[in-house]
This record gives sequence, C-alpha cells and structure tokens, in this order.
Amino acid sequence: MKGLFVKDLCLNFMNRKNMMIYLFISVFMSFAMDGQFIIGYTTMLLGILAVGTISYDEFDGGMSFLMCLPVTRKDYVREKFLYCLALEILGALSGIVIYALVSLIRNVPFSIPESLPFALFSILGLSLMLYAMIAIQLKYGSEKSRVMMMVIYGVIFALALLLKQFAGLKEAVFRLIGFLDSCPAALLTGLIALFYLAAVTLLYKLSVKTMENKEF
Amino acid sequence: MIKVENLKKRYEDFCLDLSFELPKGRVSGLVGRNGAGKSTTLKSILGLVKADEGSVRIFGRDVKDLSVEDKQRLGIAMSESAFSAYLNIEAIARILKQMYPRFEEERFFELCKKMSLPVRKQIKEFSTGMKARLKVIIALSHRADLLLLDEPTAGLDVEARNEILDILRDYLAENEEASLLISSHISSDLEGLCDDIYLINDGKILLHEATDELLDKYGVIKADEALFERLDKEHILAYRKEKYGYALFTDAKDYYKENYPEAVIENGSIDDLILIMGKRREG
Repeated sequence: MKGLFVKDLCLNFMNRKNMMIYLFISVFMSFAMDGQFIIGYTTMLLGILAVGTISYDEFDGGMSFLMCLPVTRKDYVREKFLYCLALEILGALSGIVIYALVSLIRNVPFSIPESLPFALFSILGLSLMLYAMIAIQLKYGSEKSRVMMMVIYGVIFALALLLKQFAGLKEAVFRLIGFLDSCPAALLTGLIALFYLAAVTLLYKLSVKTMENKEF
Repeated sequence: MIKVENLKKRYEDFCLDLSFELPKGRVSGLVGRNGAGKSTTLKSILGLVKADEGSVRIFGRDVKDLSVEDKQRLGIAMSESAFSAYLNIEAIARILKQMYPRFEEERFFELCKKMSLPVRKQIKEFSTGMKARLKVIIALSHRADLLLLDEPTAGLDVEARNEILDILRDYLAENEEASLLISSHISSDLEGLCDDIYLINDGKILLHEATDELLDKYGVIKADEALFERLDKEHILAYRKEKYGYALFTDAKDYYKENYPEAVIENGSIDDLILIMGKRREG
C-alpha cells in the first residue's frame, strides 16, 4: 500500500504547476472573501486532487497493470480513502496558514484555535462527499461517474424542492434539527461520529465490492 | 510455477478453453494470430478476468488467493497497460522500491541508461519502442521468479525487438530457475528464446511442442494436385490451398523427404505453424 501512496503523491507532484495555480487562486480568493471560507476551499481542492488520481490510474487501461502489482484490490481502495483524507488534512492546514497570513496582511483579527473546529468539520464533511465520489468513480469509470454525480446533485436539488413544497416534511426536518439542537453536546457528537463511521464503512465496503467484482 | 486446468472463459463471440503447465525454469511461448486468445489467457492467469470454469494456480496457490508476497515474485509486462503515462522513470523507481523488497535500483537505472531512456521525461512523451523497453525493464527489475510478458515486442522495429530479447536472454541466463511465459504474434522472436511453444487459435491450444522439435521435425510440403492426391496424410497436421496446389504442415519432415524425393519440403517455422494450423479449416 505504501507503494500506491508514493504513486499517488508522484502523480499529484507531476502536476504541481496546476497545484500552484490552484494555490494562487486560493490566496486571491482569501483576499476577496471574509473569514474561514478558504479553509473549506483548500480542503476540498486537495481532496478532489486525491480523487483525481483514479482517473490517472484508469488512463490508457492502466488499472490492469496496477492490479498485477503486489497490492490487493482491497489495498487499492483503502489507499484511496487514506490518501484522500491525508490530502484533505494537508489542504485544511494550508487553508489555515493562508487564512492566518492574509488576515495578518489585511490587519484583521483571526484565531487559529477557533478555526480548528471548522477545519475538522470541513475535513469530515467533505471526506464523505469525496468517498462517495471514489465509490462512484470506481463503479462507473471516470467518464460515466461525471454524469452520475450530476444525477446525484439533481436528485439532491429535487429533494430540497420537495422539502420546500410539502409543509409536513419541512416541519419534520425542523423538528429533527430542533431535537439535535436540544441534545447534550456529548450525545450529539456521538450521533455525528456514529453517522460518519456508518457512512464511511458503507462507502468503503461498496468500493471494495466494486473492485473485487471488476474485470480488467 | 503455473498450472492451468480446464480454464474456460466465455464471451459473446469467443470462448477460451485450455489447460497447460509451466514448470520452474521453463521458457514457454504463446503464439497465435491477433485475437486468438493470448492476452485473455495471460489476463486469466493473473486473475484480471474471472474464469467461468476451471482453475489457475500460481506457485501452487489459487490465483484468487495470491498474497502480496506471491505477487512480489511476479514480473509483468502487459501489451496495453502500464504505469500511468503521467509518471517519469524516477517516480516509477520510487514506487517499485516501495513495492518490491528485491528491487534492484542500480541495475534498473543502468538498464534505462543502456536503453537510452530519459529518467525525468514523462512516459507519455516516450516513443512506442521506449515504452516497450521500459515495460520489460520494470518486469525484470526485482528478480522475479515468474515472468509473464504479453506481446513485449509488438509494434517495434527489428532493432528494438532484438534489444528487448537480449535483455530477456541476459535475465534468464542470470536467473536459471526463473520461468517465463511470453506471448507474441512475431514467431521469430520466440524461436530463439523459448523451450516450447503453444499455438493458440480461437481460444484453444492447437499444438504444443518443444521449439527444437518444431524446427527439426516439422516442415511444410509444397505439393501440386497430383502429389497431394497420392501423399500419405498420416503425418499431415494441417493443409491449405495455395495457387500452386497445397501447403501441407507435417511433424515428420524426414519421412516425406525419404518417401517423396520429388516433393519440395521446407523447414517448418512458427510462422508456418500460425499460418497453416491457424487457418486449417480453410484447407
């Protein structure tokens, strides 16, 4: 698995010019926007770069060769999940640094400890989205997965519209939010952690199953 | 090293159905026309496609249960798949170092230098010949016990093909216990390299013979209609119609030389084998 990790790092490093452009855009955006938005942005940016390595692996039928290397199909999925998380953490840290530097230059108050919970929620929240992208990309390939993502966004949008249309449904959601809001902090943290772990496990297992059933 | 028993893989218009064995130290060649089933055979051996029936064992273990350590003993070069073309040789060396405990970094770079492969250039900028050479160098970089090479010389000129075959010969001379299964549709590449040859056609093994035997005993008889009629067909494996009469492929060249001195009999080559055996239904 270490070899796969090195491969992905090398693949991303090979495209360092693009990374530098993204970083430049991040700095520019942090001047234009207020607050900690940049932390979420860089977290997502690096996470997407991590998921993008699947496209490089698939390019020109490369996946069959990768599966002949001394790694299992499960190793491949595990590495993608971990690599994605590692790059998200790196993205969040870069975001914090940019946020701090830009705040200093602009002479506005900032607090690194206060930005840490936001960074953590960015990492965890975005990781679910990125893991879903991994599962979809492994299942449908780079091209079809783009269409699938559009369909999913469409479904989410449709659900949001539906929510707006039906007052009963809207009230139920508000009741749920109210319930969560009234929960003690420890219970709420536990519920979120449980939901996160269940979702990650499900996405991981789906991805492993896809890889194990695939023919190359 | 490899044991394939009653392996069956069905596609819409093609069915692979074969059994064979590759012992330790053996160099075997898979020959056949494009689409004969060579790549599917290798992919089935590597577990990249799942067999509908039968079994494939590598190092005595079912291919489905191959461990990471087992895979470290394999050296693979595939015809249409390799490391991402966005990487360069330096990056590949870093990856191989992590993946194979027996990776010989110095030798790897030495071979790259010998083959004039630039180490910092992205693979996507390499020529077809450079890519092919790199694939073989990668397969040989970690003292693999079993090499599986799918069409390593396809699309290359004679010089590039000879370079690759020379690297392979050197490797096999240094690692006498290593086994090699190599597929090609360029028969001359295999004649000087393989101990035995499997001819595959339509997913089935049509013939399996030691290369020396094939070159010594097999031959092509060129016969006109009259000779064809009276020819003893007992040792004729296949024949096909030609403008001058018939080309007949035999495994008893000397028998026909002795009994039909008027016949034109040429030494058999693997190309004849592919041409005549592969198209024998046309005869």
